[in-house]
Amino acid sequence: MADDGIAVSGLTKLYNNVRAVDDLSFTVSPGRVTGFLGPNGAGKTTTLRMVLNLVRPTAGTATIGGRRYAELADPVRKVGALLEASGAHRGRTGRNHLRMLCDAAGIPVGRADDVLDTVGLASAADRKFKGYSLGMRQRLGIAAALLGDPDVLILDEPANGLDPEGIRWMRELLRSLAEQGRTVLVSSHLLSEMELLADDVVIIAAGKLVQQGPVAQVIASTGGAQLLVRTPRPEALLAELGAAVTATPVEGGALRIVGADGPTVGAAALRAGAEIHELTVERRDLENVFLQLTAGKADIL
Amino acid sequence: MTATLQAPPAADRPVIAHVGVPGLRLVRSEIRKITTTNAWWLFGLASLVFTGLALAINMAEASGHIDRARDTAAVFKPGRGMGAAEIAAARAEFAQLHDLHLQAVNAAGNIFTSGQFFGLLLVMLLGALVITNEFQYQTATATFLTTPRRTRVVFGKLFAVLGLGLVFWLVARAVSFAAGLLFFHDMGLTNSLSEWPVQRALIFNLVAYLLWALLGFGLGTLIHSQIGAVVTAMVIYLGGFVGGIGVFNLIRTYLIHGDWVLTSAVVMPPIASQVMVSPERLYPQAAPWWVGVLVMAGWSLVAGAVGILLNRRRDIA
Repeated sequence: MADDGIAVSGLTKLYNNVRAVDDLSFTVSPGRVTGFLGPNGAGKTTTLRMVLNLVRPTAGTATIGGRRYAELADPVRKVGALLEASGAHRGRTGRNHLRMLCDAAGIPVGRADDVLDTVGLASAADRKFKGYSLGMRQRLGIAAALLGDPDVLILDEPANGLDPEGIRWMRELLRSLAEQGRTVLVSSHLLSEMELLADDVVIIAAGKLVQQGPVAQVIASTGGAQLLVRTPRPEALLAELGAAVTATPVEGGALRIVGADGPTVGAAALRAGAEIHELTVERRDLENVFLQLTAGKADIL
Repeated sequence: MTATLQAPPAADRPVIAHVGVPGLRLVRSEIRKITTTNAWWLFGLASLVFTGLALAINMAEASGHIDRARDTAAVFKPGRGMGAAEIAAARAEFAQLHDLHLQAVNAAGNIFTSGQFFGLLLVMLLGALVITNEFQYQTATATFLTTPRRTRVVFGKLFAVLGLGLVFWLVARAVSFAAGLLFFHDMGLTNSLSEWPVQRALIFNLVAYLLWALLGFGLGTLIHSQIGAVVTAMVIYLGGFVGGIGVFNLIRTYLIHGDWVLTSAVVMPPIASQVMVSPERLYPQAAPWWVGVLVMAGWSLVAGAVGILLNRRRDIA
């Protein structure tokens, strides 16, 4: 299945001399869900559109299973993509939207009803697109992505407009697709959702790669544990801990310490004779890490 | 014994057959795009209404001409103070107006091609919509994801547009055919369908439908904005019919004194179209009919080719 990975290399896009995507390289592995994260305006959508041959890169390449998208023999059966929820004609029914895609891809039109079933839109198949809610439009887009039963899925903000039940449905769908060995690349700004869903993350900001790797590894890479410490003698404790840690005061006179674990801080406090009133190991989640990694790099927040 | 964590069994992946002939798949997809929205039947209805109106007008006119031609009591009388040449011209015109055969053939040519003026405008606009709809409704993303080789999409649309032009022609002609046969039966005249001028009018009527559909399509390929393409198409069509030759007459009178200026008016699609469908020269300096065909095809080709080149490089965002 190594055939189905996505490889982005040196990808760059200039819009009026603004580097929307700047020498971006990363890889996406099959059999895993990869979250593609970045602040608004980081270049996520532009990157995905370059991977899919919709936007021409200024420089660099993007391949799927070793081939550029435009060179794929049967793109619909290889790659399914969801890019924008509003991509259908207002006056066309959901079923006809899918059928016209079936025609072009050489897929039997009956497949349209199969995927409408999969995404739970069967009852709205004959309704016109203009009557669809945002969530229904999103489901139709996912149905279109699934038409060719592709090995690779590329989804831009698929959770947009979905209700909590829909988000959960989406999570289970993407997980099961990845478990079947498919490559799943999904961009999102819902970080808590990503932490539940993704195996790997690629984090970009201002068009550049910030961090890539398995979720746990990316979280660990930003400095291990994070502790909340309350003591009447913070200066003495910090002097004992030395320069290896960073400490920031938080409300109520406590300190947030990064770079040392609980036992180290406890031992240092004992040596410094600093009384400990509270010592809490804080869970660092993807959101903390993301905000730390992308701080000050967002064009728009 | 160690417990192993088992991955859930992979669900059976569906077997999806490959259907359709590769080249025709895209045409089929484009035809489905056209037939699954309202534009085609709204335009078709408009085309029928205009064909009906034109039939009524053409029949009323034809009936007048035929009645005059049948008036055997009429005798040619030269007007007072006319020169010999003027008298000869007036006599020839009188003879034509009272030539029943000629009048019947002219009437057949008009009636059997009724509704051409608006019919051509409608197929041109529909041709432009076929491509600009993709950008207006952001379906270009889905279309180009399905077929990343964009030029293929354009050719798929091209054949669909030609098919559309053919269908519009067939329907308009079927209606005018039925009405025309009734009319000539009622007048007690032959329908003249065996006459070459009538056959020629019908053939070039079809060519005009196809070429105008193609030109609209070329414009749509070049100008992706739906409003922009539609307005441009209407200006070219209506402006050319209404004021086209006038502009060239002014140039001929005030700027460049040469008959070739009038001949070159054929570069304007509406003039080219008229030059093409006219059995005789549209005006004394008019270019021959085949120049009209070439000009129409040439404009479609140029607009389409430039459009395709731009389209290949265009970012779909």
